[in-house]
Amino acid sequence: MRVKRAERYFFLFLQMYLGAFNFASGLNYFVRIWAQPIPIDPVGSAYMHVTLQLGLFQLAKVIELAAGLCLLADIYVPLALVVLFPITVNVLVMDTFFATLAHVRVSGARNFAFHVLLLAAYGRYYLGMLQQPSVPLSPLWRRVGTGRDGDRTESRESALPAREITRHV
Amino acid sequence: MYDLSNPSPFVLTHFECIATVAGFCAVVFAVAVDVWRGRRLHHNGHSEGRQPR
Repeated sequence: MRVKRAERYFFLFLQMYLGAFNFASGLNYFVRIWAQPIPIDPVGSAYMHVTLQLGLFQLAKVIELAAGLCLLADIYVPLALVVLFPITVNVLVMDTFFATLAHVRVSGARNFAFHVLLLAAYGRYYLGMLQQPSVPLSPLWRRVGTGRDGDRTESRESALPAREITRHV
Repeated sequence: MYDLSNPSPFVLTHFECIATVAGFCAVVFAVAVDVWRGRRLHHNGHSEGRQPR
């Protein structure tokens, strides 16, 4: 009981840490409270310059803002973690391999470790995606209980998402 | 567009501070809520015990 409670507090800390970090980082891009951290390494700097030119950096900041808010508000956390993961990987690469300052290297690696731990903690949400597709295609625009041509050939179960099916099994 | 000639490496420290404070506040709040709920359950249990059967 105590271990479970401590585990819950630990992962709550990780979630809030990652959420606040990304939210602050995303917000800082638009509000400019502090100057944007820029890699000193020429390759890292060039990469950042290219992503800024392509608009990918701005997109990453919007995702950081939205996903960070989700983590802080404790809503859609599994989705937010998945959406945020590519950015965390990019930050890991940029910080750990293209930064000269020790605390920057540690920051990228720590955020990545926190993110992986949180993904593992919410792992059961993703297990359904690892299953072999035993059900046919069930798009959102198809009504439950109707077949491809609108006839009622499909069972209700085949139109359910994977998580619902695993629950039934 | 950013001025790429103006690196500011210590800005990460601000984010880390905000994140750490947010994490600790959330945990303290969660612990406080758990303690309050525990005391309330304990109190209700005692009061139920005093009721005549």
